[in-house]
Amino acid sequence: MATMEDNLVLVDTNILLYLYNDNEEIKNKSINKVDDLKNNGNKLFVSEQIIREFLVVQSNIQKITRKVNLIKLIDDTQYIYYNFSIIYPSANSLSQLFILTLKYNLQGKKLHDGNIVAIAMENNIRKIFTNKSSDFSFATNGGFEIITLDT
Amino acid sequence: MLTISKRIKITAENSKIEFDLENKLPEGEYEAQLVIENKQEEPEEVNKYDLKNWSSGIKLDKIPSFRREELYGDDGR
Repeated sequence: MATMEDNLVLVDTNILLYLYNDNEEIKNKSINKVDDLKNNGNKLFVSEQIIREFLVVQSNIQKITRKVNLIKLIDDTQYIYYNFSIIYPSANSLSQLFILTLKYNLQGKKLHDGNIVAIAMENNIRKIFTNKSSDFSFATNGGFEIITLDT
Repeated sequence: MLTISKRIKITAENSKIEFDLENKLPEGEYEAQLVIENKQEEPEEVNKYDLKNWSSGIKLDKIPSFRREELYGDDGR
């Protein structure tokens, strides 16, 4: 019997960056996957950390190619609010991060991935939509399903 | 002589236009001429539910994986 958790998906930073990019191949592939997930009854989430990482990377990309347009960039984050529900860290998600860190021996930058999983767990989310499934291999051991652009 | 260029909105009542001169002229009577240009088109409302409209204006030909291993420095920032 399906539970509510089966329909909740956390969308990772790399997917947001692909959606915002003007490379038609990767953009359309990402849009099609988002549509596919929604049409199959999934509710899509992003976390505060994911929005922050999106802004960091996108402003860095703009810095290389042209003058950074922060007003447009911040305004464009509205698309995230229109298309995804936002979840935030909490005292419980921080405790969950400590538990995951010890359980899976998360060290260094891996803790950033751990925080994504911790916040998902605190919001009953057990699916992550990302383009790099190996980054969350520790989470699959804990019952997470990783969705990629090709699955 | 003072030339003022402003965008104005004609209301349904269509009876009055008001705008601030910002103290650019001393008090007194003046002869004024009003020229109204063609009607401005309202900016089109963009559908922000449609991700096809979400564009950075930048096309990355080589698509990075954007792994956190790459996004963050060794100091965690």
